[in-house]
Amino acid sequence: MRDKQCTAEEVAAELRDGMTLGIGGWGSRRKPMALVRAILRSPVKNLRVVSYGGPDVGLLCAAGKVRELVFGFVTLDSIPYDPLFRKAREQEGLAVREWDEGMFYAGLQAAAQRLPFLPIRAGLGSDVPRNDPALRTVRSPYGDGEELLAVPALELDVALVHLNRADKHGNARYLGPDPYFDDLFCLAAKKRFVSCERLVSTAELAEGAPQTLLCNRTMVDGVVEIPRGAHFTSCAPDYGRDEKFQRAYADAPQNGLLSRLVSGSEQDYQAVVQEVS
Amino acid sequence: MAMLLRLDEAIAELVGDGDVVALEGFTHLIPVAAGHEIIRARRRDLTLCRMTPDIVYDQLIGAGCARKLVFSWGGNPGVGSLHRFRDAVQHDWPVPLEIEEHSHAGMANRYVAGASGLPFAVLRGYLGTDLPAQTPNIKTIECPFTGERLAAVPALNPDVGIVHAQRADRAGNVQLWGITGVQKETVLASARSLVTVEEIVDELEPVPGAIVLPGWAVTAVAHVPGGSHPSYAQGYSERDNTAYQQWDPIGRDRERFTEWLRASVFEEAGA
Amino acid sequence: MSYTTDEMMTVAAARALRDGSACFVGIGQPSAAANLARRTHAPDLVLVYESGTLGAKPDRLPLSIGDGILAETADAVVSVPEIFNYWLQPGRIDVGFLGGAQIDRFGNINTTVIGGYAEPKVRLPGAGGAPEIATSCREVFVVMRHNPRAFVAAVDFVTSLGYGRDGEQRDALRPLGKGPTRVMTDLGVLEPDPDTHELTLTALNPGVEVEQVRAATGWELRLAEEITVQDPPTETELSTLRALKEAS
Repeated sequence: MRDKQCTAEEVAAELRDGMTLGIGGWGSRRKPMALVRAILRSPVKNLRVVSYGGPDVGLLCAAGKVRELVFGFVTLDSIPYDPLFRKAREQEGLAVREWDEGMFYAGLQAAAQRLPFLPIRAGLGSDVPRNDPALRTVRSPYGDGEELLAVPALELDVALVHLNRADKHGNARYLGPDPYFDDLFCLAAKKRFVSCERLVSTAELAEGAPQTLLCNRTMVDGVVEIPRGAHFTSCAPDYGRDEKFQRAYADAPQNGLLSRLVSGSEQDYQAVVQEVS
Repeated sequence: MAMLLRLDEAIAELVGDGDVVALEGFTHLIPVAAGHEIIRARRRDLTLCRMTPDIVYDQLIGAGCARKLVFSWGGNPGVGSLHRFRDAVQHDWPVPLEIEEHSHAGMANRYVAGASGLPFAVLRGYLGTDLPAQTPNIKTIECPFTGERLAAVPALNPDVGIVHAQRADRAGNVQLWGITGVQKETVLASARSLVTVEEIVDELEPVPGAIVLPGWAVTAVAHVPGGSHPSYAQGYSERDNTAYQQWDPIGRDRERFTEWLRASVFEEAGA
Repeated sequence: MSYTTDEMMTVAAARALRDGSACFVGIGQPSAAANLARRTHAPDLVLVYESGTLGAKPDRLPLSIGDGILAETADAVVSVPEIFNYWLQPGRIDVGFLGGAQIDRFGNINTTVIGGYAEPKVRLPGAGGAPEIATSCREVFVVMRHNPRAFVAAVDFVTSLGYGRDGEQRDALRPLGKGPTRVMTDLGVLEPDPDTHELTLTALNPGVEVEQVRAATGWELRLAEEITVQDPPTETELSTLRALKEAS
């Protein structure tokens, strides 16, 4: 079986200007933050970012990497609003497709099922379609003739997810309470990269429940071992969210840390971790 | 909260003549005992739905319970044909059987749409086959973005959905694991649902990969240990492959079948 | 070692599976072939069964597509809607294995009825997963016993699309997968002609004459320019296949 190990820099180098990038995790939880930092340091630009947004979105916006954001929400959980995202949205004219979570999920499902769209009731009657005129409706071909919202497939060029354990072949397991939608991001993408807390042998990985094996080798192209790779978001049960650091991130526009977090080297980031935590 | 009922009470209460009834379970966890109870209750004119009608549907059809069968693959897995089903289709015995035929992907998506509260599902299916010519509810739908033509199938919302599961707690929360087929979708798509279980426990211990159907999404639970025999319940029983083989000569012959029905279904009731 | 024609057919089907590919498997000959391949030249073959088991590694032949041994040894177990919508439909499966009661000269397969639909002579099991396997897997291998009742000029019912009734319909419908690329029988191998898509004899099983295959085919069978003779089963292949069957 193929050894799919690679580095964060190699993952970032797979991205091309203008690509659609899906990022797993949820809010400020199990986000592939080390891979996101590798993107901040790479020359890639004009990304279309698809995310159940957390600080991944804030940082990419602050670095000017985002051409369009497709999202259902952006939050830091313990801090309701991400100030970096807020600045981009309120002051910098960030282009958005702002859907609800149900529509967002249907869009990922459609891509994962290789369908061009899926029908859904969510969003009908709200102002979401009015603000996203590219959305369409579709009529049931049956007697009910009902009109439903058609959500276009959210096809991803690249998906990045962070999981607790993986083997070098791309089988990967979550150990926390929630899979989020990481498997769906991988199924919706052409190229799929998993960062993990710890790389283990296939035999060790296989010990445990089959269903927590969220990603299998057929849906993963590259694996990067990065301990604390989700920091400062949570990665239960390996570690919880670094609330102190998250506070400093949220205050970054005022506390002078912004440039070090957004455009610094990995050493800069780790130095900030030492200073803050 | 789901009612805890005896199997005969549950069938009497939930299944009426003329109902659309789905008994699901993909090889694993087939609610066979519930099917036998429907035969004993002498229900008639049912529209029976099931992706893989196997011997329990052969028995229901042979007993004259069904007016129509909605399905995607009918057979005795690993053994051969369903002879009661064939006799009904080919010779109207004991009553004529109308059929509505899909593919597995089509049936699975019909349950998903039903469970999702959507009128229809979209799939890439039935392409180039003769099925849409025989099954008029297989339609096409145009993608409003790309203009692509895709298959559409209507939601399946049975009056009654029946599945078997490993266990439930006293509040009627149901837990099942292993091959879970379309059981969850069947229960959620149906107006009323019955789950027969191997065991009723005080507390549902987490099991890797288990589905939990909350008690408020289930109408009734009945304690029927071994209720999926000759199918199996992972962790409780093994599939009885011999019983599937033994069904073949019984199903082939109307007289043997009638005798089997009397001895194994109707007289069992008094036992 | 002596062997049966069915064993030769299973061995030929196993050999056709590439290591590392993902294979959608049905019970019977396909399952025997896929499991034989996994135990011989293709240890990394990913076995996918429609019951929802991905990457099953059974140590005996499963007796049904929902055999418990599949769930217990799988990389992952998913629901039936998920196996069709997320795994089969997007084209993640390399090879689909199909069989049937009838196959015609353009590789269309019938598992629905012999005779008319309304007045069937023989009512067959029906479609199952086959219609979508036939269009969504990257390619389809067919395993069937060769006789004139099964290999017919035109099937009574197209359950699963081969190249269409005229040999061209598949090109017009443009499904994701290539369609049937190899039909392996107890007599030899048929493959679609690259231009006309008509199934053509390309290989014979050891000891089989061309005339035998012609007599067992319900249309005027064309021959490929070069017809090879397949190697007989090796001792390893035979003993592995028999051990798998015995364990069940």
